[in-house]
Amino acid sequence: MRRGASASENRFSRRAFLTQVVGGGVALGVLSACGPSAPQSPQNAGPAPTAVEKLNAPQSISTAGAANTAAAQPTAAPAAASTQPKGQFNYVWHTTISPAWFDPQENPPQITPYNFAYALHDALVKHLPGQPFAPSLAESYEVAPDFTSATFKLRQGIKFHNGDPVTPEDVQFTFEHYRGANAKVLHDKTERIDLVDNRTIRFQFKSAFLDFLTLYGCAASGAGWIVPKAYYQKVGPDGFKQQPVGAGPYRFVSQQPGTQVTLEAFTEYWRKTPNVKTIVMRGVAEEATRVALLQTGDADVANLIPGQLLDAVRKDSRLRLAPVKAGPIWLELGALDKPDSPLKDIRVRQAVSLAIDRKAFNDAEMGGMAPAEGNWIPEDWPGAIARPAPTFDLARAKQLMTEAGVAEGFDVDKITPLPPYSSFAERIASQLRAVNIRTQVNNMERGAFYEQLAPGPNRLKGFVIQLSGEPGDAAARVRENATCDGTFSGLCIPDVSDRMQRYDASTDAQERKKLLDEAQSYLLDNYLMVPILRQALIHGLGPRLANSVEEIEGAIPQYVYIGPYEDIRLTD
Amino acid sequence: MRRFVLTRIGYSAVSLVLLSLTIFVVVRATGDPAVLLIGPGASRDDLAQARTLWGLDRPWPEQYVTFLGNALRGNLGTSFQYRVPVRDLYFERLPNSLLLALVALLISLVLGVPLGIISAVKVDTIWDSISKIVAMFGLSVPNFFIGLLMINLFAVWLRWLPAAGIGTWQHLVMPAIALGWYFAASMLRLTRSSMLEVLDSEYIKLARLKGLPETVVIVKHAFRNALIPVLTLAGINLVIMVNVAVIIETIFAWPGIGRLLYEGISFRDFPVVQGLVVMAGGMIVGVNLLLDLLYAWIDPRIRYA
Repeated sequence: MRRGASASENRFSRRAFLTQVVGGGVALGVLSACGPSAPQSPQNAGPAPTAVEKLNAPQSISTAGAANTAAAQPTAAPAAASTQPKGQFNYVWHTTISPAWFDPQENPPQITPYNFAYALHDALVKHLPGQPFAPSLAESYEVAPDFTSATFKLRQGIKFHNGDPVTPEDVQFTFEHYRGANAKVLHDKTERIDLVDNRTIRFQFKSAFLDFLTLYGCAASGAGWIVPKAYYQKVGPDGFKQQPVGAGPYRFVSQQPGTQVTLEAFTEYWRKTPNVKTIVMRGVAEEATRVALLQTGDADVANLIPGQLLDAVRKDSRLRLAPVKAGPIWLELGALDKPDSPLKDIRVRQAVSLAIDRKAFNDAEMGGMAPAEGNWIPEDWPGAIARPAPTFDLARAKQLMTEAGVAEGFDVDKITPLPPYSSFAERIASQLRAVNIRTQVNNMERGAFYEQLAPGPNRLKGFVIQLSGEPGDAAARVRENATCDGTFSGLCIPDVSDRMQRYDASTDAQERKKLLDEAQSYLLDNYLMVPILRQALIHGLGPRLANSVEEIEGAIPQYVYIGPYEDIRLTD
Repeated sequence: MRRFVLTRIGYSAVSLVLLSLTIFVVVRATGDPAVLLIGPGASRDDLAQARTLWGLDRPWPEQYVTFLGNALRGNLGTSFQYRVPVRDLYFERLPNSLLLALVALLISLVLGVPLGIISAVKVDTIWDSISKIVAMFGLSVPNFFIGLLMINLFAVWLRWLPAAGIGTWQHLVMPAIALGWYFAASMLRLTRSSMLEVLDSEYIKLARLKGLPETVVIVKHAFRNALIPVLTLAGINLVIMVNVAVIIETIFAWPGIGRLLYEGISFRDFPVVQGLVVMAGGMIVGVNLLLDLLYAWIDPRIRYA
């Protein structure tokens, strides 16, 4: 919002912003970079998220019209505390629960830590079910049409768990002291923060900052989760991790570092009074134990049930399975292990794709619950193009191998899966033997795998099975995995890298969309990235959980765990 | 004696310094922890920021001197993953590990020693065969399988015991049995062989010739001498159970040191690995030092050797 201009002329509300996204206007790029690699490019915005398009129907509003006529729209008013929270919800995690995750000031670019922020903390803007970038602690927000500022208005009467009010000073302190993922790009591009009045905060940027909202309002950073300034300064970062205080639906009670955390309902939470009084989260690494806890009723929800244990849950009529669409699984064919590799022939690469029986893979690994998509980037991600799922056609694959002169097959040094998904590689290697492509599974330690994904002479050769659960957008994913200096890229193809460079330099949304579409098409049409499946994270739900699966699992955009916590209901 | 004590203490100190240096180098040889702990999607800035925060951007000698200096003052550093002092993590988990290990040790002794004695006394009988089968199962069936079997039987089907976790005595039953099972088998085998050796010795034959009752021969004369290697093994087993009961702690979600060490290794959490290994090494060196001093006190030939 520019000083001196009337609101009707210059305000750019959330609704207008989302509407523009639908219309393909200037704001098209703003939502796009909800991904960890955003800082690699200052202008890595892209097309709009599909979820937003579905949510905001009016397609006909023009960009200019939307920007000039729409007014800021608050989200739903705070709900009155009509009932008292009751009961205990037992939530079993597949991972250890690090105290570091309770401090959003040091938020890593991972979705799992983000879960704990969802429970303990609250942000000015966050994803809510069906509402990407919904105002939360802010009742409304406005992004300037030229993307040089963003203004947030706090709700009235909101408090932290210790009773302190949430103030603009807290917002400013949180942002200025944030040192987690993407802190540098956020700080570098922000000129200053103006505290306009006792409820209004304006972020003033040095230049157009198209990605601000996506970095600030989703899992790409933790800068949006507001911490209480006075308390944080009093206890310090270490003390905060031991006894965090936030403004989220649940307040911290106790923890056993790494193994358990206990939370209690914050009855003054703005959105609604949580239904459940106590949440106990426990880290249980062993999959079979998680299922046993579900079966005995000691867990109300158990995360990540693997394929081999799905039947145990299915056989128990009291239990439910909740498959949540997560990151994609894809096969990289770009890292050719020999200069004269037959894989240099596009027909051979196509044969590889045709020889993969995705249904068999899905049935065995994910109980048939994983969606098949035609892109190696999730279709519902900002900027991703949708393609039909690849088919399984062994006869055609063999024919292509014959046409390429390699009917007798050939050897590929190795197929390396992202640890610990060894069985994925075993299945693909087994299926490729049907077209006489012989390879051996190369299992690696996780850290070593990521180190060898980096470009350079030691970059992994042969086939690589990749899987990424990082939230993000199509541009970030292409940049990270398929450009010359991509963090995990084995490809250096001018057709892709040049387009992405132009994409990053451009501020023209139409041009950016075209370039991104072309880069993705190139990779798919040339079978350099072969989509296998979209991974389904399958969670087990116990009989005490009263919510429907759709209501509580995967309801929040780009979020793969249970939530919102305040919506959880128990039967008793 | 004084010189002997000082020499032994000196050796122990040198051992610990060498251990600390070895583990310091070894953990760093595994690679960059930032890649794992900050996440695969982290930007280069994020990774560099983490390395600076953790002091990994400084030269190795400087890092080592800092680590050693802090360790001597009782500060084992701060966990990269948990962001809390390693000392706090260690002492929070140590009681859990000690409890589990002591009960498991008790189970292994209660099962292994009597069966070993019976097996030796009733050698080449049906009792001996039964003991051999028990030992074979104990040594060959992995304890994680026993653990999962027990969870299904006693927690899921019978609902007698909680499947996992910590808090009540019921939580301790299955992990202690699963952990003690393997060690009971090794205890059984050692007791049997030790008893057989003792029973074959001249003084036992003399005792029998003197007409002592067989129970007195077995319990008073044979078993007491056969017990020495068994107790030595029990001590070693206890240290192992306290520090590396990784699988059992994982299956039963038991918050012990073994699991903490495993997670430290998995995530390249250098301070945790360094701290726990040094503490475990300190435990072993301390016990050995104590035994050395005791032996020397009991047997003067040792101190003058």
